[in-house]
Amino acid sequence: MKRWSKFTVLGLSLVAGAALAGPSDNSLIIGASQEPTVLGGDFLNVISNQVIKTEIEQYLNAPLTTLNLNSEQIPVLVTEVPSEANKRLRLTDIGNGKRRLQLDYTLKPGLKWSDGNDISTDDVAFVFEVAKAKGMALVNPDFWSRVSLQVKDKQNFTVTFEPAYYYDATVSMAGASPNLIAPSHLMRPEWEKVKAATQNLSPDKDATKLNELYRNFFQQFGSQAFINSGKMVWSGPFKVTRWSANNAIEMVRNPNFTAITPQGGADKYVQKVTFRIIQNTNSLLVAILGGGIDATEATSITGDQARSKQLLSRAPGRYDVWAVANPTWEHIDINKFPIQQVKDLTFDDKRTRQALLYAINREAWVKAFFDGAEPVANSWVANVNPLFTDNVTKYPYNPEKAKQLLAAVGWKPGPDGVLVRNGKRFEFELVTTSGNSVRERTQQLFIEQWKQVGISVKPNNAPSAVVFADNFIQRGSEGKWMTFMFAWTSSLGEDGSLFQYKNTITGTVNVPTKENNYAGQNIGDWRNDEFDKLTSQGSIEFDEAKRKQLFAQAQQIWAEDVPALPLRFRSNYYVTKKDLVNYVGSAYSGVNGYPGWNPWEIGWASRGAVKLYDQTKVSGSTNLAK
Amino acid sequence: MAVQAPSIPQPRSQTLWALAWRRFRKHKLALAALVYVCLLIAVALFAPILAPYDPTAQPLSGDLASQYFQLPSAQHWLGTDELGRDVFSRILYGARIEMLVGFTAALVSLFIGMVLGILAGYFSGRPFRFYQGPLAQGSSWQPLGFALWRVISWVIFYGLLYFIADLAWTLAGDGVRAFLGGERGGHWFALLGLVVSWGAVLAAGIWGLFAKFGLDLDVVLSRFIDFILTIPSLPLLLVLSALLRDSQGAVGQWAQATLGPAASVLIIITVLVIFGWISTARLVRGAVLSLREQDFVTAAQALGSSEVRVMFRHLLPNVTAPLVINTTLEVGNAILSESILSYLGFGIQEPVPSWGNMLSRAQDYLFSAPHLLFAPGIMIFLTILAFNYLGDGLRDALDPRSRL
Amino acid sequence: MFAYTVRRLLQIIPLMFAASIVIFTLLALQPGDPTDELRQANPRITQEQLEALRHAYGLDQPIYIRYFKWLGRALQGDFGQSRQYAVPAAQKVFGERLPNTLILSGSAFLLALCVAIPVGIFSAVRQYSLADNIVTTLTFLGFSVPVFVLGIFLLYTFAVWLPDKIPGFPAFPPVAEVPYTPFSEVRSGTTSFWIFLRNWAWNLVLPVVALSLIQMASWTRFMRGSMLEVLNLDFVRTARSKGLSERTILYKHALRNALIPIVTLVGLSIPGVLAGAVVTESVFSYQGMGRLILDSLISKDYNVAMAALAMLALITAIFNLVADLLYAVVDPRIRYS
Repeated sequence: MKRWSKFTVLGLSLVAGAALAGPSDNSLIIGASQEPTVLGGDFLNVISNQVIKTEIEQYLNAPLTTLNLNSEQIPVLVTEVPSEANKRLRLTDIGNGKRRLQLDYTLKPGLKWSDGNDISTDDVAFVFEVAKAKGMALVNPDFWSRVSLQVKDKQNFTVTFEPAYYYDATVSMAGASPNLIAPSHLMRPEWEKVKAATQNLSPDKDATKLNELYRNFFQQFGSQAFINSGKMVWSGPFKVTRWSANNAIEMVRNPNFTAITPQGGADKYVQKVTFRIIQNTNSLLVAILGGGIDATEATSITGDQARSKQLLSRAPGRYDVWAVANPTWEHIDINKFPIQQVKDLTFDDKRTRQALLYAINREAWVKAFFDGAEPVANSWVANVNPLFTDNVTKYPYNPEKAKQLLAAVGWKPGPDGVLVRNGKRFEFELVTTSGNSVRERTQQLFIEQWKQVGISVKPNNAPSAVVFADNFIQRGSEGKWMTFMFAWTSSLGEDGSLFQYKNTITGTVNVPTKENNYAGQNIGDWRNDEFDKLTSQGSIEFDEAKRKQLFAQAQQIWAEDVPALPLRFRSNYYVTKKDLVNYVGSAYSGVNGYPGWNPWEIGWASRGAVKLYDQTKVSGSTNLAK
Repeated sequence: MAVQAPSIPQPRSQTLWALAWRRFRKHKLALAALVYVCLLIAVALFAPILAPYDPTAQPLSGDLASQYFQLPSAQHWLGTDELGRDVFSRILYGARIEMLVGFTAALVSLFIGMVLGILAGYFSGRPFRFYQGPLAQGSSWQPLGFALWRVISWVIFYGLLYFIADLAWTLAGDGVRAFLGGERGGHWFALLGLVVSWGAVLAAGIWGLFAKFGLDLDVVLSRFIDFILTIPSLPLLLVLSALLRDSQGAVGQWAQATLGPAASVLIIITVLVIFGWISTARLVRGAVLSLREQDFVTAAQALGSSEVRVMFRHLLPNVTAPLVINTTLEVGNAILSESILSYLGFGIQEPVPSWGNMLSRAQDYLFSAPHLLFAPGIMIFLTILAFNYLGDGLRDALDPRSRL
Repeated sequence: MFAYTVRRLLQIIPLMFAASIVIFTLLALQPGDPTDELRQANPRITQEQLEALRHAYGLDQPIYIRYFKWLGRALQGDFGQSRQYAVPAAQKVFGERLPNTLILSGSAFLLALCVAIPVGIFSAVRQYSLADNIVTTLTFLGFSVPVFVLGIFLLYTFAVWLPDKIPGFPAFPPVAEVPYTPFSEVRSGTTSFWIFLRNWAWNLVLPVVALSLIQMASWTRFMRGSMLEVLNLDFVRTARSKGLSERTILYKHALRNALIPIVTLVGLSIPGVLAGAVVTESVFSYQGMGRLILDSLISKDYNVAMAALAMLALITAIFNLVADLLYAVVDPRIRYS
């Protein structure tokens, strides 16, 4: 008996200790369900492209510019955002409707790395040199193939895009810029060695060797051991003090970060940030309930957990639970390749696709599954995107209409209730990622609803590593899948390439077939010349009103033809303790829509931090804890 | 645990079983377990009649949210799950899967283990050429005729085996499908099909191997068992079922194509059998090894009984008791393994309900709907308990000396 | 005895060889390869880049070549790189997860022993008493609770139900409120050993209880049976008739003999404990080898899966041998040759 009471006391004291942290020592504990594999040194994301890495690096690497809560670009390390007004943005026609974009930047004076060395254009030039090295396996080759750098002096440089997309000056730059600066004084000596070693290697024949050398280079400066040695330097408002595997990443304020001084001085804001890694989200929830977590990162808790009674009933007065709209589009793509199975199922007839959409009750689904927090999608453009238009054909739940449309296509009820046409049953598989409980649950609901109109659908689920494999998702042309439920995440820079057959400007074919080595994101083979023209032109149209007009037309065409079944747009869920201010996010804040895009001004109101942003005022954001 | 009991050859009589039954009745908990198991079998057979709802039927109209995660009520005795399906009906249909998997896996394992064990035990130390054709005993040297005969007989033999195995495998698939579809009698087809197909494939393998090399089956079998016991079974079960279930891989596609819609059930049975026969084979081998030296065996051999007759008429009846006990425990083990695999997501797949996958789903809603944990959790526990008690009671009744 | 040990040790080599071939083949047959992840992370990666990577990973070679290459490297301690964690697979498996699993199963093992032996003796000495009946019933129940069912119910009780009912109840024993500290930090001096120990203990309470229950129950049962058998033997009766105290008889004469069969049983159940650990780790998201195997199977991180499975096979083989040898050590009647 005695032993047990001792245990309980120990437990209580630990909880109490954890709960006292936060405002008391001006620290912040952020719960995370994943752990980055590397940090910092892997500045081109060659080794890892994880969400959690990007999120944590927001605190460590300052960007040149970023997008704020209202998706407006703000300068961080540079003096101002290039615009035509300040003569830092130049557009030149280069023929064929293409343009060149030049952006002039000036680094703020007196910027320093966390070890006291100056931040200069050398650090930018270093990144460009590494990225353009032969055989580098880049995550965003398209960006790097169009961009180039001209250095003027230690403070001034110009970035050129050719050909330029309308979003290059904003989204491309803000998105890439946390990684456009790397400590050349620290990494260059090692890089020179790598260069020497790769001198005689050819990118075609020695891809393996090159890849290995490059990976080792990034790994060397990004590994846990290197970071714990204290030798890594940072440009952002925080620097890592300790990274213990499976446990926590601790960071403290970087006194050399002078790019932005928050209102009232940096000492009024959070001085220490700890990412506490708890991989099981149920356990994370328990930790939040126990009071040991001040906030969670963007993807660590699920919508179901955010809405759970345990969390919400204890929230009042303690924390807020936010659902923030995110431009991640859940949909079911339909195979439209000219193959026999598609013809048998009449998926090439838009009436069939419309009927499939009429037959599922998406309104009731989002209400029951997500409490209405995540909106029904009507096209592929997110409703938080400036290019979004609501003026499109919609398909509210109407099984009768679905039956009529199917009858018009020639489907007749068979003996067992399943529709039959030309002796073939209306029967197909719906593929999705296993292990995703929301998708699997949704799948079961829709299958049952389709059954009501005489369509027999079977689940066919496999781990994401399998279904997103090149030899599966990209092989609609071989009939590997008929329908496929998954999501695309879009950025502020929408270009319509998801459904283009061919970009009329660049000539890129986006339908994966044998001819183009199965490349491209239009995996279902939708071909619409009008759509291709509108979106291709839209991508290089720098006049916002005209661009909106072009994309609105494209959305109308899309919605009329329903090449894929639009389901919903997702939300990110996160918890913040009361009193914590400026830990806010919106669909495009910091480009990726995570909270923590403004780490310099996150703080506790009771410690004098000034509240600059109100999460409740962000469009598409709701506080579930009411 | 292996029963080494060198039992005195007992006359097969009613009194032995009557005696056992009398002993068994004294074990009250085992009796209760027997009743429970019988009930469970009845539930499995009559689930379509007993279940108040279709286990996969979901509410589709009205306010869906209010129909999900319902607490137990008069309408839904055990509440509703994350898609508004009736948990009570799903538990009943789940029993169907558990019983099908448990009994089939155990009986197929029994069959394989028994045959292999008896062969290994009986022929231990006697490398043999099982099949040599009629010329083997002859003294005349007729190389051409001999070779020809061998080729023909092998073709006939394997052709026949292939035909049987293929037929049986198809039968098994149809049976399971029919069973899952709620048709009567499907389970018999499934069972028969599996036993015959597995048996045929195994027989082919063994005959082929031993006719060719004249190996000592016992040595091979013992080595093989040692080897299998070295491989950690649970992770290997995971790897195997991942392989067979994966619809993108060649192996998985073959499995799906052969087994059809009932694939997930048949795959799990297959995977369980791969490890399940070992305990039976060891048990039988051990017992036969000691029995074959006894007088009644020698007597039978002296009287000119064929080897097959000695094995199956004289030796086999003497290992019946431990086999019955072992098989009972194996049923429980198979159910346990099935629920673990399904729980880990490598077993029976939605929407087909199994207790393991119900529990796995329930854990996703640990916070929002903990009541979903109880029914599948308790059913798994009670069922494993019942089979353990039953096995215990049977041991007391049939084999009183081996009691721990 | 020595010759026997050596022979058995040598036998492990072909066994491991065969086991590794089987595991490697099964893993190599699994569809999907590590380059698929890259496609997922970056839809714009080109086919050429993927082919180059496949070539880099040696995935374009036939299985047997890959096996021998793997074997050659593995014998030198190089199990390849983990795709998922971007560290050497050997470091992930042996450096990080194996100790975790050993601590989990070791603790469960000790807990089970510490409970089973005294309770078994007690129950045997008071045969047919109320306490004995309770123990017997409980052991049977414990024997039949699958570890994952027990684990989930423990989680529910200690993470959800009790904290809900009792205000202030520490909701964290289940897993994670105090994330455990890796031992490397004790070595590097960043964490005191005491804090390390405390964190571990907190994380381990529920998984260890869940994992140990089955062994606890079966060993108690076995201990009771074994003790009863010994107590009915002639030499105990002789000792009693000589007028020795019950204490001396129990602890000096009976116990020693009753422990013999237990030793074998305990040795033989080590693989079972390890298998149980696989499931337990999944229920509690404990960062051990079992969980790692599951994760790596799902994410197609086959270098890691291969290293972990081979390790488990080796442990199983070694403990099978240990059990046999222990048996000979404790029971003088057994002599291996």
